[in-house]
Amino acid sequence: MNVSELLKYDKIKPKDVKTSKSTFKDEKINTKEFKKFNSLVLIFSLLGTILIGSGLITISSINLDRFSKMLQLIIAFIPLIIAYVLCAYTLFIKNDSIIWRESVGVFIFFAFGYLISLISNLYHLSYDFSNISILCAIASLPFVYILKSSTASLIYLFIVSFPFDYSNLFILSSFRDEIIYSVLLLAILPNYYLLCKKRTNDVFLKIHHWVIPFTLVSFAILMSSNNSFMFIFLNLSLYSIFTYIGDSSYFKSNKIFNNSYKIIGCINTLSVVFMFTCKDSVEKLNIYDSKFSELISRSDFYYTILFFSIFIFLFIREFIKKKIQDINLLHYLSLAVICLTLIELSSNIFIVCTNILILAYSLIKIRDGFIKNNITRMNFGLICILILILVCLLDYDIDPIIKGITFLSFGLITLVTNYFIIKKIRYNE
Amino acid sequence: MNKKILIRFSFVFAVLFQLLLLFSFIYDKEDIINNGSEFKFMITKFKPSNLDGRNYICLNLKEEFISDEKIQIFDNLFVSIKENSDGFASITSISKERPVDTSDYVKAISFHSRYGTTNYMLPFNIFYFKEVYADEIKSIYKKCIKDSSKKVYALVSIKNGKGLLKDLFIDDVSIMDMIEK
Repeated sequence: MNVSELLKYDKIKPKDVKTSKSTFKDEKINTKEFKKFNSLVLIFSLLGTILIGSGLITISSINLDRFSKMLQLIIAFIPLIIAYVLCAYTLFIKNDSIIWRESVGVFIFFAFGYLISLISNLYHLSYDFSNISILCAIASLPFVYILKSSTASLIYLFIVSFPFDYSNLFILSSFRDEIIYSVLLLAILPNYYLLCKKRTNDVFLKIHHWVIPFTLVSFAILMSSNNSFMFIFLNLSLYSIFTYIGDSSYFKSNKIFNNSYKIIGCINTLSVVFMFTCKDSVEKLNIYDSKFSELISRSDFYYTILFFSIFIFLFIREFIKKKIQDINLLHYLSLAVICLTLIELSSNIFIVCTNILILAYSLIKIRDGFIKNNITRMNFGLICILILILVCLLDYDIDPIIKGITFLSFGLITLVTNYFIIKKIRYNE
Repeated sequence: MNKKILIRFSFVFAVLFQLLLLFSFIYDKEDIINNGSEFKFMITKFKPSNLDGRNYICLNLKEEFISDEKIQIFDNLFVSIKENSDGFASITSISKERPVDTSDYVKAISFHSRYGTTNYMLPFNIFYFKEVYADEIKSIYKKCIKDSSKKVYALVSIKNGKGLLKDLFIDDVSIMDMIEK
């Protein structure tokens, strides 16, 4: 019904028309704009903010050289004060505009980081880099929540994981570092949860879905790199938790390539298990080298227990809820490898067991794909077997004729199975 | 209305939180400079360089390596410091535990290991200077290379395991004074 029709039937009075017209118009524009700005305007505004921020920083850093220490400090505060004013303006007047919120969130990080780096220059701080970036992250965290800015939270995640991952000096060297790292990670998780709840189809949310599991994976690998016993436990249980999250109803509705948790969990679990099918890596790792009393004194022991207990809890929950054949096969696989490490086997038997496990896993996948007419699943199983064969061929000295024959027969099998499944799908259609 | 008050309150809280962290950071550094105990560290060589628009001198302090098999890379170390008869600082002991008997110690990190000896880095081996002084500092550096009798040392103040570089001296004259002449 139009506004003029409403007038005809006396449903609204003429003096209301002016206001109601404008609201009708606004609604139309808002829905259109909402779709548009998501991609281009947002990206350009962020780019603009970054450029403006870095421009301000370079201008002030050139002129600062002539002034005294106190004056330099005062001038360094100017970008931060501008950032506060913009933040207040955004919060109180432009609260609905996502563009404003995102750009101001980025600008605050820039202004604070500039100020801190200038102070560290003034006091000749040399390798305080990790402390400075962590200070920057902690200080800007409240703004991430107030502005609800997902770009800011991505920058936060980057800063938090950067000093621990890439700068050689600060690989989680002490218990204190690990506690700080986990607290900082935990602090951003509520924001991630809110993002998941609010926006279902957002670019930043998709980036979050990839970045958060990656930071967790790098954290787990760094933590357990010294001890292979911990490595198996911690990594396998973490990746199983990932696959569990990927199987949840929230992620299952997405396409498989958007389901980051499932992909990361699946690939990492398989690569850890594949590592133990290789003779060299098992002998290098010395799984039973460390004693139990040593393990307890280490800090990663507690993290391992935490993740492992979560994994077992989830597994038991699934076991009660679902049928045995409906549970994700990767859970069985990782549980089996963990059990194998608990029973102290000699390395040869251990390798044979992991080989059999992967073979069984891929055979079940192939069979599953063939029955359910799923080409991706079937080929995934075939690729697993191929990798297994490659590892075996690299490990042992085998006659080149036999190598050639295995590759030839494998290629034939792949072609024939794919041909049959396509034929079957067409027949069913 | 209630939500608006909440937003205002949280904004003020965030700003105050950020400023509080900043001022505590600055206060910490000022405290070390004003109330810390001062030491003179001999410097074997120094070289001005430029990275990312930051001009700095990298200082090689004396005795920056240890041969102890228990110490691994990225361990936190505690370096105890004492003033010797020449008036310069000398390192008395290096341990993984915090020393109890003296208050003059610095935290350091071991970062490079080869042939059983481990290098460690003290937290005050970089001296930043201003862009305008780059040419003068280069000429001073060239003079120092020619004349090996010149004594170069860094003035460092230390408190609670933290050390800050205050100034760089060449033959008891501050490098900044030399430039301004």
